[in-house]
Amino acid sequence: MNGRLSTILSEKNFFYMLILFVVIGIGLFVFVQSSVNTFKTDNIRKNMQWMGNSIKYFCSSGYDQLAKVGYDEDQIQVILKQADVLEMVEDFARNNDFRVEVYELTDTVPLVLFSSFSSSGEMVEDVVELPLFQVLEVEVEKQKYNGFIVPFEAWSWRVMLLRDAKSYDNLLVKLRGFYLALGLLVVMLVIVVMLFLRQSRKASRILQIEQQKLQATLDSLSEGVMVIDSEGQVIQINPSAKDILGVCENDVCLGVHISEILSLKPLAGGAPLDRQDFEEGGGLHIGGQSNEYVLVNRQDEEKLVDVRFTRPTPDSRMPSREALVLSFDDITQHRKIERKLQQAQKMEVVGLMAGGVAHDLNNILSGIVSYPDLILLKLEKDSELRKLVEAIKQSGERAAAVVADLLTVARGAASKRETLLLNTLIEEYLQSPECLKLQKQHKDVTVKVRLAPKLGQISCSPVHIKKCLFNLILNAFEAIENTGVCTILSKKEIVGKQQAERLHLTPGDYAIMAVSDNGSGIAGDHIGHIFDPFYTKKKMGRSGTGLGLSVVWNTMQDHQGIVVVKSGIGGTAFELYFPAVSGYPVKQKEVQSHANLNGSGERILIVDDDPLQRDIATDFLVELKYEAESVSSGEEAIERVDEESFDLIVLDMIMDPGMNGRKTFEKILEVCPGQKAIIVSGYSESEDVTETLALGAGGFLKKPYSLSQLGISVQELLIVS
Amino acid sequence: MLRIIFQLLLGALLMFNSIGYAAEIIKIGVSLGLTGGYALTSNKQKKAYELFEDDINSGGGVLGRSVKFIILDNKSHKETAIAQYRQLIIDNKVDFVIGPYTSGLTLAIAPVVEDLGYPTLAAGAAADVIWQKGYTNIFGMWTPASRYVLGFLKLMTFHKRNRIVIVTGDGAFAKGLAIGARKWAKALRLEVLDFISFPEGTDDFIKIAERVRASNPNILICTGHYYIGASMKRALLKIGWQPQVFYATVSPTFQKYFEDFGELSEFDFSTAIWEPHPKLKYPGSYEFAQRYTKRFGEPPTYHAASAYAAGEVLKKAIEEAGTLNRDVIKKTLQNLNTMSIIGRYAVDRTGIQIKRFPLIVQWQKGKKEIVWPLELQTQKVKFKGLE
Repeated sequence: MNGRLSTILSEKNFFYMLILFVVIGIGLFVFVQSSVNTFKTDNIRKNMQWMGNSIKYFCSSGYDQLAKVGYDEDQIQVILKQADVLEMVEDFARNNDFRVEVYELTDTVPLVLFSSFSSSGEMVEDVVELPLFQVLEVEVEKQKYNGFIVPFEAWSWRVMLLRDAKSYDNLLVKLRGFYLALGLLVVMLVIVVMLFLRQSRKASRILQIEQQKLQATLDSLSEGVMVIDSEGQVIQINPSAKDILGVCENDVCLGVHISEILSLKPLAGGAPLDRQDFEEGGGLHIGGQSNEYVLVNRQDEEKLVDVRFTRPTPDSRMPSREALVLSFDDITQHRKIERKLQQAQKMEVVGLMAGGVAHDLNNILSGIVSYPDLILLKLEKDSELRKLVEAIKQSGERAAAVVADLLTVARGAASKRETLLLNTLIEEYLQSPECLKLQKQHKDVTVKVRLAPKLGQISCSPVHIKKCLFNLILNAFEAIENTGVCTILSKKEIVGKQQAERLHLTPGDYAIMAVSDNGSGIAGDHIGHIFDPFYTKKKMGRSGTGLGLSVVWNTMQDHQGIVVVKSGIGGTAFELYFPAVSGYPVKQKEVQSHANLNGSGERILIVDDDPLQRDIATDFLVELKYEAESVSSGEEAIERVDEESFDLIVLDMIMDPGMNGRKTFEKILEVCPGQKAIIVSGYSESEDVTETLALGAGGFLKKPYSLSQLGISVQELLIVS
Repeated sequence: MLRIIFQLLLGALLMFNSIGYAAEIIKIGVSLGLTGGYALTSNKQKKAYELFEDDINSGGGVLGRSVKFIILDNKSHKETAIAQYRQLIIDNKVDFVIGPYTSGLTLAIAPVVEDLGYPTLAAGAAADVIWQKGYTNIFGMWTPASRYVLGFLKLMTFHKRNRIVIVTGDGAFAKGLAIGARKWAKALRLEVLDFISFPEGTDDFIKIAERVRASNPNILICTGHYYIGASMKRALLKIGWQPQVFYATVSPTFQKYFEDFGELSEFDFSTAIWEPHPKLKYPGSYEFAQRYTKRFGEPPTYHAASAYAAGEVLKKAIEEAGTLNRDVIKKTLQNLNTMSIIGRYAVDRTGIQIKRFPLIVQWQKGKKEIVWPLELQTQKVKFKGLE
């Protein structure tokens, strides 16, 4: 009401209205004043006329009475009758607040015959000349009167009625007083209205600012907030609430019943909330505690929301109708992240365990994987033992592969990244003996390959990508019971903001590698566990350690990508999203024969706490024509480097007790800046490995390594670089 | 215990209440010049009020209540009269007041009764000026002074006596009356040879008498209270000159005038508002005169009759209003039209009496005779030397 009045009575409007009032007021004053004057004149004239007629009647009656008895000529009788008439005239005049003077015309000289004045002696000048029956302004004894002359010719009389000219002045004074009071009242009213307007505007501004602040606060909340009245009608809603409800910006929400835009079903089960629940609040847990509901929004999307119902304490700032405040969060993504976090934590625990085991196993396997190479070098080509030694080596390598998977799961694919074309990697793998062997084993499965042209390159660990491909193709083959199709495809996709939020990716270009089958699909209750280590539902007799999809998941984590699984009765599809990178793909190095890996007697220091590892490395390096020396700790290595110079140091990363590889290399660099070194470790690349490489170490070699792997690494550092 | 105390209290309350009710009389206050210059007239009024009080209370009072007059002596002084009317109203808490004798005193106390809202019947005042001041609580009982002499002047006109000297005191009543006389004399084409005004209280009437003689009028009009008329009469006798017609206000209406002047009062004229004559057929008028004379051993003048009549008019106003509320009584008195022992009562918007007409009386053979108006004439007018 105040706001509306303030709007109508803006200062400008008010000013114009004021001028209008003043003009009307002046006009009215002039009109009324004029009317009163006219009224006064008319009234005086009518009154005088009436009085005059009455007096004339008295005179006529007196005269007639005399005439009737024949005394009209008797002077004494006439005088006595005139006295009687004058008595009546005086009484009549007094009772009507008039005064009267009777002039007798004798030879045109007027004589004051009678005056009702108490002390009359003065005569109105030229009374004979004055007009009859007209209101006159005369002055007697210095006082102004309205005069009215009535003649009575029978007695040669001029009867002059006199009335105080101020008799109507009181009315005019009252009128002026009324207008003065009205004027003062108007001025006061103006002041009051001005003050009211100022106060109202100030209050309105404050209210507006407060409302803006409140609205801004509500708008800035990521939490959806709605206020409804006791009838369930929405009286306030913020943008986050609209967003969660899937309501368009322009959609009218205020005044709408909440049940028309909000559908909530308790997560714990039970009937959805209905109109009555909102209006009466009976079925709601009011008090601020969280309640999880499934919300179906306008776009028919199901969302998990955390809703709190509160009823604010009514005060002057709240609507009189009892209000209910709903605040709710969309926790759909939160729950997904929670699940992912749980998965990651589970993987971390498993990884820690697997990592510890893998380190020891790698050291153990070094003997099985590495020594067969030396034995084979020393055996005759037609030796019967060669086949057995090669079998030992293959078994060792398979065991090492399992350990490598364990390490991938434990520490991720923290290998050195290369920029490569994804299509090239896929094609290389499909042509690899490993893949060909798989296809041969699953002849009933048709492999279809659809690779998108100009897919671009990715930054990756090729070994791990191929390992992922292997695991996915293997799973696809094994998911198909009899005959079926396994499709391998690649495609390019630009992930927008919304999709990125949904997939938890950074928006941008992605290269996607997908492997799908038309098998029976993955059961709904299993799909949440497929990436768990050692989780498998494969039938007995089939391959798999339960680490395949864990490797895929961890690899994608390490490559800042994701795995999207779509499974149904028509089959299963795995889509691997890799961030596309710019740059040029590097060429794959060719594998060289160990004959070309021989050195020229360069001095190499082997630092390893494991005597077996020291022996293997020493034996390999000696075989490759290097001069090798080994020490068992970092401290010893520093002393030796300080004493003599070495062309290369083969440095184990994890040594216990004593300083690890990174610290040892730091100290060595202090003694011998620019010292070349290869880092070896039973683990995958760790932070220490990365930092050591950054300090200047030339390469990383994972245990167990073969003769040729060591030879290539040493040669690259000593010769190539 | 509490119950007993309550019953005792209730009983006491009822007892005091009944006493208060029984004592609820109507008190009417009057201040009169019982001593001093106006004592003669004022004492006659006092007696009339006493007679009225007895008459009304024996007749059952007013509205079932008895009437009590509180009459104070103002010693014929204005200031005392003013103070006494305040005392009567504020201290004595009278229900009503009646005006004092003389126009001068009535004019003096008029602002008091006006301020305090007491409607007041002017039982002893006639000066026109009282009703020219705008007072709304003064109601006239007498013909206005300006008309006192009119009847006499008409009579003189009729009998062709036309040369007049007017002698007047400067009091409100006397002056108003004299001016009225002059005004009406002119209207009646009578010649006013001299107009002599003197301060009231003067003793030098011989000088005035000589001045009158110098004008040689055939009519002398002397206006004022008792002593002025009587003093003028004595002064004329002293200088040994008498006009053919001697007219004086007030004094010749008293029996004392005849007692003072004996046969020398013969043919002297005056104006009376009322006369105790059986020819005046006003209800109770003659009976009043009889009872007054019987009780006080002297005949009443119009002053006494006016006092009694004021009581009658007030009684009728109260009865007509049915209340003692003074605002209502005031309105009733403004509109009342009733008879009293001195004739009809009615006033105009100013409060001046409009229904009364004066009687012109003349001493003839030791008796006051009404000679005007002709309808009430008890004897024809007689002139000195023409009898």
